[in-house]
Amino acid sequence: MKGFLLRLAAFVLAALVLFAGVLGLSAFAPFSEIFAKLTDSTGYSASASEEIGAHIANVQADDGATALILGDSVCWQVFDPFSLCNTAYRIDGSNRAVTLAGQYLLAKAFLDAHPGATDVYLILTPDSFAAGFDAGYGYQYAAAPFAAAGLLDGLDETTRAELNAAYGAPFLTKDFVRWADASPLVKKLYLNALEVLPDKESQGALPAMAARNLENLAALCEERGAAFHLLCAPLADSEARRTSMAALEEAFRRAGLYDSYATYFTCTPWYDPALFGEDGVHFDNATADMDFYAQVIRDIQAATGLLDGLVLSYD
Amino acid sequence: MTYYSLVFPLFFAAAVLVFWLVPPKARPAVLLAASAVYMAGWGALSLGVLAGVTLVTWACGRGLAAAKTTAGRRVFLVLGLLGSAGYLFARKAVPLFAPGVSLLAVTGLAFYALQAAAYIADLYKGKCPVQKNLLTYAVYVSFFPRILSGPIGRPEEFFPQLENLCSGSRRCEPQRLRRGLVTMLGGWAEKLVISNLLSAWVTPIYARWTECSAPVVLVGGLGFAFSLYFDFAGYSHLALGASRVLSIDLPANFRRPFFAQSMGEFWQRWHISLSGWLRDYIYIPLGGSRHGPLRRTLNLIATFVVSGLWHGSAWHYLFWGLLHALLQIAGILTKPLRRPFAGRGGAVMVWVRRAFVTFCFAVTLVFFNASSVAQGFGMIGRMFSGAAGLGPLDLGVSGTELAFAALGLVIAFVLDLVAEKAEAQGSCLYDRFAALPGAVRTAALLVLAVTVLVFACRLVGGDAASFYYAQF
Repeated sequence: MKGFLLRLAAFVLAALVLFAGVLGLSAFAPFSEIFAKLTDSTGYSASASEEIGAHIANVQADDGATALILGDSVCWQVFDPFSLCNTAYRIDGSNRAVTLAGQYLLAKAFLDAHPGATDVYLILTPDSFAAGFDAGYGYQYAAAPFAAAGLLDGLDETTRAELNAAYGAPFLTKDFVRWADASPLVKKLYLNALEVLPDKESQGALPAMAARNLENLAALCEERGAAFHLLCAPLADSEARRTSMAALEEAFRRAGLYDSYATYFTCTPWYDPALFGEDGVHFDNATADMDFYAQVIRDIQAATGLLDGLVLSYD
Repeated sequence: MTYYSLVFPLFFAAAVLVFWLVPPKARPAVLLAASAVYMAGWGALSLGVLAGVTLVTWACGRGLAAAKTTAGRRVFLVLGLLGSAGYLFARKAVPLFAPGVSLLAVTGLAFYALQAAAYIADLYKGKCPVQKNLLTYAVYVSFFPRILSGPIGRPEEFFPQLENLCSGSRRCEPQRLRRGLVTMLGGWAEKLVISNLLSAWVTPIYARWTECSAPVVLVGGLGFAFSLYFDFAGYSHLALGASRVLSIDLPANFRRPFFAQSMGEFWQRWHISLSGWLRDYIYIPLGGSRHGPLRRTLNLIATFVVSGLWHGSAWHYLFWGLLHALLQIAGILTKPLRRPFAGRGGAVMVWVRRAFVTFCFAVTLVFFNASSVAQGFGMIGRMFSGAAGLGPLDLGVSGTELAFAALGLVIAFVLDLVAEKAEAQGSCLYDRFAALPGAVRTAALLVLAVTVLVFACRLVGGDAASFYYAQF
């Protein structure tokens, strides 16, 4: 019986080693696609890494820009149409899953590559402050792309510890991220393993991680001689949005940050909810066009006196 | 928890370890505890009903054995049958006549209720002794390797084995463990590789059959037959293998049904434990073939309609059962005409007959898997209409996946051929496998194990189809 059990253990070990070999092989063409299809993993592509990786490359580009606009998907929707007609402004709105930690790293990468930068704008809806290191999009948008670019060391120690606790230090290395991006099967197994972990409790409208990175961002800009501006992205004038804005304002006051970012709350651009799509967050693309977005930006400029010199036309 | 839950290997390993480490007399208690834990995973209702059926039928069995008059015995027989299969029958029959009314589903009831009913009926007929020990009886009803989808057990095959285990005369043997684990690995491969791939392709065909081309609907009908077979045969092999690791042999549930040369033979090879139960507890008590052709015909119809009802509480299941009764009757009526040709035609005719049986079964299954009788007729009409429509690769399943499913089918077919030949020579597939050189065996099992692990990844993060028969 002892001999049988030893042989069984050796067999199980050999099978696991071979399976690990399959996982390794699944990162190389053409096996990557074959295993993705056979294991129903085709939905686990590297699109998030590519999307945020492009933003990282953009902010690091030596393009002579002196100002940076960062933000969530509403910021992207409104400002991105004008990204090609602006040379002084680097426009790189992304999405809320990037988190404040990711926005900090993007800003840092920009300031590192643009020593003469004068302004950094962060344009967010109130919900975006609540985004954290969750099992859903957090790893793909806030952790993996920055790990692949070797930027995670730029975060403060507490945030790095939070990232390690959420995703595991071995899975925040360049090698693993590149492996997972090349193998949808590996990414599927890893992301679903994260789902097994218990959900973290909601930390309210302004989690400690967001507040900390906001302060870090402000301090970094000050150190580099650039002005930092936190602006509110356009919001639907609905009860839900008013409620979330009030909750965020209360959280800012409790954290002692309100006075530093009063403009975010006093210059909030409210719009008719009918102009928004089904999610009530983004403008309805069926009706909104370049002229509309240009007018939205002009409204923000008029209310805040900021974003000076932003070109709003390709003429 | 099912056989392919991530937690199952841990649960099973723990159960096996404790089972073989405790003194022999404590083994039934370990099995009952493991079964209770397993069933508890399906909710308190499922566990409660299992406990209720066990207690009621055990008590009825004691009462039946103690009753001194025929009338008294009959009272306990009726009570025992109502206590075992009464709710199951009501759950299946009520929605047919009261649309919209749906009684609560209870996991595994369709299988263990029949085991309990078999015990009561056998006890009444004097075919098995009364089981005085509640613990032993509870293990018989709730034995976890088969509780979700069978094979449906009989008292005479189970109790003696359990007694041997308790007495210590049956020990933990490497040969049994090895054979059990290899059987389980085969079962996982059948379910995870072949059945799940085919199911992913067939499900959209049934959902969008009006848009599919005629050949796709036709091949989809055949695909469902194979998907169902490998789903259920996979589960059965897992149950057989897991039981064997615990040194309990369960009866085989399948014997290469697509090798049958007549529909009569088919039912001796497909879901054997249910077919045998229906034969012994429905068909024969109704009179079987003993009272003339008309009565035999009616008995066949009744038996197959009950079979249809057991599978589901909808008219299309009953229609499926009725079709099989008609195929059996047609087989009996045409027997004199076929007799002169029996054994003629050589291997070609053997394969023609096998293909015909497979085709007939696949066509009837269209009604089984359709959502209504009308859909079944509609799909069969479309199969032979020559209609254009969606092609095989327009259904969300890639060519790579279909190619692997086809490869799996080919390998399974070759193994079935070997098994058929081995059985004809008084051997079996496992004996043939065990006779191979050790290195070949190990290599083959490693390939199989890694294949199973790879395809198990399909289940991660998705809504993987459960075992089809677990829903009954």
